[in-house]
Amino acid sequence: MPGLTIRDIQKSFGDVKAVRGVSFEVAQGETVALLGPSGCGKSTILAIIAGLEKPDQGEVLWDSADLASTPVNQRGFGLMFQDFALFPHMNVADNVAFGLRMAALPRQQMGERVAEVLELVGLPGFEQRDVNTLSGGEQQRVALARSLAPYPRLLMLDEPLGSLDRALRDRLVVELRLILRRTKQTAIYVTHDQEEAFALADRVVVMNAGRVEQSGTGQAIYQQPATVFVARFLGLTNLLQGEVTRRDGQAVVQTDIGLVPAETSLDGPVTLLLHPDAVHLGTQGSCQLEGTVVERSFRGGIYRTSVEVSGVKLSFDFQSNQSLPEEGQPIQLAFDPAEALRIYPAE
Amino acid sequence: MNAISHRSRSALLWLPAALFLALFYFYPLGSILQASFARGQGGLLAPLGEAFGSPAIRGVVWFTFWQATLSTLLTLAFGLPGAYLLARYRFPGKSLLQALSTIPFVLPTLVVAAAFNAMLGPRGWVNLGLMELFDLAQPPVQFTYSLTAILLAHVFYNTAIVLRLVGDFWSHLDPRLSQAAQVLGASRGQTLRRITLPLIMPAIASAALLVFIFNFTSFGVILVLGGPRFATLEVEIYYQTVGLFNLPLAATLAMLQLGCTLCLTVAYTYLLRRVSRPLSLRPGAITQKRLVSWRERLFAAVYITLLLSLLVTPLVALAARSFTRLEAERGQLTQVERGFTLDFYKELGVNRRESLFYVSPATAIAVSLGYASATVLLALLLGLPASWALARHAASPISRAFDPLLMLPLGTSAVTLGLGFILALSRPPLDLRASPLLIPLAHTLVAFPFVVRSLAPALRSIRPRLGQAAAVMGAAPLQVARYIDLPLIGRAMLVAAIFAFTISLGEFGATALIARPEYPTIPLVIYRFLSQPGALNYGQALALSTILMLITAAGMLVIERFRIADVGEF
Repeated sequence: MPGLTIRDIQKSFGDVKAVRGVSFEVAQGETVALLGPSGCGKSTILAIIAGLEKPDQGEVLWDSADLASTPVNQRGFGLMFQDFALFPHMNVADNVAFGLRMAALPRQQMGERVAEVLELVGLPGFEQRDVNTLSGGEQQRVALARSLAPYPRLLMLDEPLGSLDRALRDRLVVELRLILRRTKQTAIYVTHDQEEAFALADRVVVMNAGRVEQSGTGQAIYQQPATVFVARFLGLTNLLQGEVTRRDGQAVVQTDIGLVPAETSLDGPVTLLLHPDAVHLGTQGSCQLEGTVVERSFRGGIYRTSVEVSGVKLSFDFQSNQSLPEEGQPIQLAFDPAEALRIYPAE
Repeated sequence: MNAISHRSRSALLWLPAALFLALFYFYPLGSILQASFARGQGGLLAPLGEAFGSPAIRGVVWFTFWQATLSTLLTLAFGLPGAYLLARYRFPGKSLLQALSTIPFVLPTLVVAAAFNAMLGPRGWVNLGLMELFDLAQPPVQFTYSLTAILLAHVFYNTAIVLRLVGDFWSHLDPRLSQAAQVLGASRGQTLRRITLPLIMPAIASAALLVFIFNFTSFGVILVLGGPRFATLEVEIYYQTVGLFNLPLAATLAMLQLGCTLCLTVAYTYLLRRVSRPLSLRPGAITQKRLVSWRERLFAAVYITLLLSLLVTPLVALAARSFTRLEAERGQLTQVERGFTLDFYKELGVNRRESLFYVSPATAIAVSLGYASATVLLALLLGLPASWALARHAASPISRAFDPLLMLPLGTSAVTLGLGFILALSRPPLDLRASPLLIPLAHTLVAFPFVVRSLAPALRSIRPRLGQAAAVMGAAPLQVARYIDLPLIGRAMLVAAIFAFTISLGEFGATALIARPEYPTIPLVIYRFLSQPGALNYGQALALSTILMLITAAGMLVIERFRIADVGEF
């Protein structure tokens, strides 16, 4: 099902290359998260899709039709701004109805639709409220209602939860997901928070320095980070420098924690990720690690545990219901290299 | 917080402005009204009856409103696109353009009249050129003594107000609000009508009110460019005072003028409270972009061309005329040699008539700059606390009462003010005749409303959250002011300072009455030259006007640079 296609988008601001050749697609009904650190170009991409910025190069297509000559107000997209950009001189109803008014909807239907979307975002009866007196969470909902009201073909959300507190954020992520699912809304969700991205999106596009690093489902990206950047951005910090050598046709990596076998076509210096989820306590695995527990901190369901192996510090999360050595005690770990190791060209 | 109550803090903030207005506005005004009515026969009602009984006076009142409304609408129509251009775009030469656009605002009315004359008058460049070209005996363009001349001069004068006040406010308006509207399907026109205009309305209203009051009390332009056919209240007051010495009638007209200004201001204050909203201001650096599309460039090119031809052509005509000899000096029998000359500038240093009152232009320049600096200081010192009170204690009854009062000096004719100073401040208990502060005080009176109108909107738009954040981190109210509010309103302070400085440099009406002859300001010296006959004096007046123009331009540029280098926005 075709929806949005962007192809090789490039954009510079003066000498700064904000976007350097980005392509991806969003199928109809799909929610795609653009995930990346601030300044990676994700907001610029939204502005380009919306038509607020012109790309230096590349195309934005909807249902295979080029949008280059369609002005921003005729694209039929919705954009929810980072700090909401609610019109301070209008009440909630007028804010929400703005897009409908622009579409010249009859007054009766307009009122119905406003009530409907306010109901949807959990603010029934807020029509006459002054937007300047609303709380952050309420403003966020009004902004969402405003961008949903005109049935946008594509809804873009630019870090919509960035300014809210954690608890509110966690609740709103769930609600937002429900709303997007219920309305079968095609959406792009921009965030720097992997948890938000994974929770909301069908597919995640990880960006760095104006480029796409990886795209796929949240699970696939988390399991198989395509680059060292993605691994590090997702908080996978067990990265080791190593050197690939071959013995009898079998590649092995020489690292600070020892020699490990590896399936790789790379040669020479590499960066190795030891995925913490595939490392477990005990001796059940073809590779063994012996180390010392340097630090462990209780995080609810898990212990975040820092282990020193041959002078290298590694970090693992262990279920808190299993017996774990105390700080300063030796620890025995095991893993299966095919499952636990990812090998990247050295940085 | 509780030690000083909200209300007494607001009263404290108003105190300097209140004292100042009481001593240097209400006291002189009271004196002149007292003097005027004391001389009149039949008490208070006689002059009122005289005023409204006369069709001539009714005509004057009608014309005053009519021309002020028309001029204000024209100024807004011309200024608003420029405010948009300056607010939303960066382009090379922008600060130069801004500086240029402010120059007319500070020029003495007589100089402006001379400039328009030098361009469009019977012996101006246009008419001379057309006569030469088509071999005409009479100048074909009738410009002086027409309503067109008055309107054009008013637009020339006041466009800077719209550019500055509206442009500044607009440049800090979050562009995402209109982007949001466009994403929701609003066209450019709809966005402008439904989002941008309502949001910048406070600034437009501010600018429109100032422009209207200026046009309403217009004096020199009407007198010189309008000629005997046109008279505003201000001109009529002048005629009645100086010409006919009918002080009771003059005082009545002055009161009428004041009453109108007060009504306007009250209506404006009420309106402003309804349309003003907490906006999150953005630094101009973020909201401004470069001219990219051909449409933007065409708009910029057309507007800048129009602006330059309105603002610069008369000034260039003036400057060129000051270097050109066209007529014979009196007593010169030989055929005049037309062409380039530096004589008018050389003559500035020569005391040809051995006048006792001779003052070198250098002295006049120094005197003017001194007065202007003192005015800036005084106006900011008085204006800051008052603006603070207006912005932060807007709801307090004291602020509500004071807000319209601030604009009163603007609506008071310069003639009345000057006369009031002479009557009230040259005798005990407050004898300031010998004080060098007398003129800066009068100038501050005129500049004060501008300072407040520039500062208050900026202060009003600072989110209270910021001050609260600072207070939570341990900042005392004064520290909040010092570290949060002052840096945030740096730009507005600068605008206010520019206004005070330029108003002082250009003020003529009141200064003419109260300046000591040995310390005249530049406009006074220009006026002396203009009021003496002959091409040489006319040339010298134009030469000195050109010098004043250059000083102002230099000042503007220095301030613009200073802003970028030091104050910084936000």
